[in-house]
Amino acid sequence: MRERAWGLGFLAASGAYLAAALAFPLGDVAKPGPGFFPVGVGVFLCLAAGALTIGRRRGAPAGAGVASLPRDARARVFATILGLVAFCLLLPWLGYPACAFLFIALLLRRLGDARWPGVVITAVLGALLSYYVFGVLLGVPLPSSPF
Amino acid sequence: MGPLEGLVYGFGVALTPANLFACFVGVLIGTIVGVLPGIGPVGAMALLLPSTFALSPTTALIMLAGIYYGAMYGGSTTSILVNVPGEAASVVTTLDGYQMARKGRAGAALAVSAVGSFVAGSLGVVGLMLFAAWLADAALQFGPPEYFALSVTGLAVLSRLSGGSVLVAFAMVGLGLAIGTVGMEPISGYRRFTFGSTQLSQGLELVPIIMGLYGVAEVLVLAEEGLRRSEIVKVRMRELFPTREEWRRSSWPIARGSVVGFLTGLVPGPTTVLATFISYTVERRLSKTPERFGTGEIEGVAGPEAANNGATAGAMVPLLSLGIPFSPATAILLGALVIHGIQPGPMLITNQPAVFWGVVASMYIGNVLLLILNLPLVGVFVSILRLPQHVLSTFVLLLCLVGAFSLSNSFLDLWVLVGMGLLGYLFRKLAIDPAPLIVAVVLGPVMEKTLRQTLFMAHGDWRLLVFRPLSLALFAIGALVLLGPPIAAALRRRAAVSAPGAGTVSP
Repeated sequence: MRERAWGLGFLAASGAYLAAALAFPLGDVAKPGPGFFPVGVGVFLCLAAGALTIGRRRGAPAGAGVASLPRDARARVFATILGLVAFCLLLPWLGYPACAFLFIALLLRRLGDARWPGVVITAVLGALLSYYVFGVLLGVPLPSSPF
Repeated sequence: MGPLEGLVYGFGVALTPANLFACFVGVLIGTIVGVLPGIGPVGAMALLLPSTFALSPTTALIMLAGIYYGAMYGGSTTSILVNVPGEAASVVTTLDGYQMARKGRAGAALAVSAVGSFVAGSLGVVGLMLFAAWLADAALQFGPPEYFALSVTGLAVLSRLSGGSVLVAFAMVGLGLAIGTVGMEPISGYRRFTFGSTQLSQGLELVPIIMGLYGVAEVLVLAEEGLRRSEIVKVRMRELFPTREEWRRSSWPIARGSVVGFLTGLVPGPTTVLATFISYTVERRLSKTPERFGTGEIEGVAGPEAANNGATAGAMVPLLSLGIPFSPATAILLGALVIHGIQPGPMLITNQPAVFWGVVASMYIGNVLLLILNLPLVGVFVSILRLPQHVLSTFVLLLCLVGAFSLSNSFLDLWVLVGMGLLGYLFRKLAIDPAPLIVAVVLGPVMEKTLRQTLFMAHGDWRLLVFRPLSLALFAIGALVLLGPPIAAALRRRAAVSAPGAGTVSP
């Protein structure tokens, strides 16, 4: 059921891509325009997605499938995703050192069994050292602080 | 410049202090990456690509190539000592390598594996040197129709060989081609799928896509497992010497593995992995005691370990001679060339001899360095496995984030990284290989440009695409690889049904 939903979702996304591609100037076979190739790709995607959806409905093998995870494992994966999204959202506002500190602290705490003092020391050192290496030595213009 | 002359020139380039140091750093990082389960050579190369911006193109490519083939050496260490393959191309080594370790022959397995990798790596570089120069000369005759045919055939073969369902692989190819259409189109500069964003008009960067699909997705899978402790078999220095009998039994598998690996590396697909399976099957077939494979036979270590190193050299041939990558790792090397302002393609050897011959010579040097590093320092590399997994995962993710941002100092690349990471995690859960997607992202713009150039040239006559001799041959190969197996299976089924006695149950 879940895999059929994935198949239908993929088909819908392919259809949306094709619809968007049809809005570009298509040209003709002698003078293909900017929409020529994307339309071809869109048709190919729709055919592949349609064949996948039908194939799965008929009970064709569909890989390993999405197995349900134990609650602990799901919490760790969710914390990692949350850390990544929060880093992207907060980086322009808080700057790199603060974001890196929060990111390291969150993941060390949620993925492992480290205690708070160790987590804080590792996060401070990790944030400062990575800022020094990338921001100062390699010259990457990392946002430094909100002020 | 002939091969010998070129090689001498290449050694002059590769032996400069900066390039020698880059080679050492590359193979060292490659070995560490190979030892560590989780982050593979593709993720590591993508991660370190931004740090090569300050280097010269030759130095950057020498370092990245070092990571690629260095990982094949390191991968065998964990397969033999811990029964955990450091990367996919070392999975087969666990079958007999770990059993040898349990019998007290871990040192012999590691030594044969390192020497086999060295021999195959060195022979592969000879093949690369001769084959790439020849192919580049031939490719000068290629026009847009041939490049289009080569791209289509490459993707078709990759879809067949990437494992799992061909339909799923096709869907991945479609997705990759669609991603490749984002941004300004290559001929008129028309903006597509940019939604008014200036950043999107430059297209999506390849590196965050690869780092997301491989690096971030891998860490998410590791996060499921939580804390993990490995049991490591100890190896003493004096145990690193195989017996005369073990050397005798390993020599032919190493030679065969080198050839099988190099030839497999030439075709599109996960060739380092395929080469190990092919080599293992060949050795088992040729063995007088095939039933003993899986119980600690040294041939089962020697052949596959040589094969995966031979395949890395083979995979460099289409990249350096045609400018076409057939695997995610070579796609990153292509990205590195483009970022450094070098036009990949058949003229690379003529226009950039320092890059081509420098990289080739550095691969000889790198193989020697790897042999020196991997045998005496095996204990040091294995001790890396004692690093807590969650600390390693956290810092790998932080490096991915900083690496993605540093490409063009763009927040968009961070979101691409995270989005691709989630997509990659989903693919892992559905047992889908993302390699066709990545290669399609790289080949998509090539396909579009050459398709449209051909149609312009032919005033819309599509027969020019198909009926030029080389295009026709390439399309025929693609069709054969795609349609051959299902047709053969259908014929076998029909033969089984029509055979006398078919369908009856024997008493």
